[in-house]
Amino acid sequence: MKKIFRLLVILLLIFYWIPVRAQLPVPNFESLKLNSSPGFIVLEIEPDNIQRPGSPSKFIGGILNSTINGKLKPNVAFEISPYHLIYQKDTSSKILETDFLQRTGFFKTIGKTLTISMATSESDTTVFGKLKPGTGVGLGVRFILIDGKINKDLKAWNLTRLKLIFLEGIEAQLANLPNDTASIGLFYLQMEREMKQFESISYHNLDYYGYSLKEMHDSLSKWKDEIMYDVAVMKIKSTKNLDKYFGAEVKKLGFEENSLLQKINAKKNPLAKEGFMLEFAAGQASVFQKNEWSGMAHAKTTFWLTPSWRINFSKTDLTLFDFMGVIRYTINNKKDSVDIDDYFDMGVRAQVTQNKWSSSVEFISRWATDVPATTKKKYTYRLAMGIDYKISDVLTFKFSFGSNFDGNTKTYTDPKQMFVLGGLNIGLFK
Amino acid sequence: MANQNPIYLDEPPVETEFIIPKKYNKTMISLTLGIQIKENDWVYASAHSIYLDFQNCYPQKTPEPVDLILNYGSMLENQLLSMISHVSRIKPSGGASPAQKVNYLLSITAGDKLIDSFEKESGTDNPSDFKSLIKFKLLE
Repeated sequence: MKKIFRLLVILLLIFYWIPVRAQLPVPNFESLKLNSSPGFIVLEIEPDNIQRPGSPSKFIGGILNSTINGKLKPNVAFEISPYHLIYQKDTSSKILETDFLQRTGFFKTIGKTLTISMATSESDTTVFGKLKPGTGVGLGVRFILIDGKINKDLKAWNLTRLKLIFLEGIEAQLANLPNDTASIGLFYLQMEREMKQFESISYHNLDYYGYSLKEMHDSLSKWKDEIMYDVAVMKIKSTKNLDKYFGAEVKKLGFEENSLLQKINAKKNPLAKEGFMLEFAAGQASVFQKNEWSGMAHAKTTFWLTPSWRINFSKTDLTLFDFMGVIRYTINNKKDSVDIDDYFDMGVRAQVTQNKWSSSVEFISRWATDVPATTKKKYTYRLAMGIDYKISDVLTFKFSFGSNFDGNTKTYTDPKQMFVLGGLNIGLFK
Repeated sequence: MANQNPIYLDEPPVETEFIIPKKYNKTMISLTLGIQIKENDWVYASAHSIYLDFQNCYPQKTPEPVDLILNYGSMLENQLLSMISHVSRIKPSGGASPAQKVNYLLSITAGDKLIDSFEKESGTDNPSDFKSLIKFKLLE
């Protein structure tokens, strides 16, 4: 089993670097973070215990060093997104609204964000209690229950674009309109009709644009009134004048849209969602004792919820503040004495992301439902700090240090031990 | 005589005649627009204003119309088709300037037979407007 594990590590290293060099541009910063994959978390070798949900990649692999049984060991994990693997669209015609901005229904969101992960490591003899040492294998799933909202710049761009599209349509009609009173009269009527159609379409697609009905109504009705006032009250009586008026408005909005697009594209993660998100995850760990197939034993099953909030501080750059929490329940294999009872975890995490850097601190408290008579405490905790640095679009370096949970209820009163972890996350495909 | 490309990029369009062969005078004529972005890491948002003789025949504006019914060939004689396609591009992984180019495709079909199709490449300006002003003519 050890040989198979080593071979897997070597193969993954070779296998990764070839496609990585061949097709550089891949996922964004967040989708490269594999550290908190349920597979790693259930094996308890994760450098991050809480992570903000993000858009899943088709496939992502990671190799991470961690201290297991007092020695530094490499651990391997990968995560796949069935939705993105099955619906491999022609990316040359990806549409922003439907593929990125649209908020989908509850079940569709789950389907689109569901990922399956697998991780392996040498089994930690404290974490896995009385199970014999061997290889630990973690399997996990996670999906988003509540999605975030699109960011302010995208909202502003969407509104400008909507107005521009409408006015361009009007301008296109004016260019061919006969210059007589009857035609202008008909044009006014048509414009009113079009404005209504335009409003109805805008209200219908609120999810694309990130607006509430009231916000959209307030933004459009004021603007519409201004346009109608300019056109009607200012008594522009010839198509030439109308053409000039709409030409100037189109030009003004065109500049606005151009500068918003420049600002959006200059950001490191322009489509990053903001606001509240809620993710569900579950994992199951097994240990192949003595690295033998026949030695496989189920160790634990874990379920957790991760609520998170995001605020973007910067108007020009990417400075994101994330506040996250976790509520987790772990069912231990009591029959094989992984531990005498189950665990309940609650914790918080704060994270700041600025361009290529991301730093975080997290605290999680764990309560055991029962402890051995010799153990005085019913709880343990984890306090960790970490730094991520995005080396390239496909490579992120991770460093974290702190104290982890005491492995099982027998050790809750032992002195806390420090851990230091470092590793690379490597993206394979889009 | 081959039809001329009626697509203009970011400038007012010049009226361009589009010949519909007379054999299609009783066939339904339809319009299809397409956009292809040149590099995989970019995505686009597009909207299309389409007016046939000042009547808005595509109020929903998005996505690109496929086989949008215009009218029977004979009914289109001397009618004016005015179109603007507005295409904006965003790079989801960010940190990019200038914008990636897109290819714009316009095709007109009679039933399931293609009469003609045209294409135009954008520049790196973002957004880009593809404009056309087509006058239909029915000829042998």
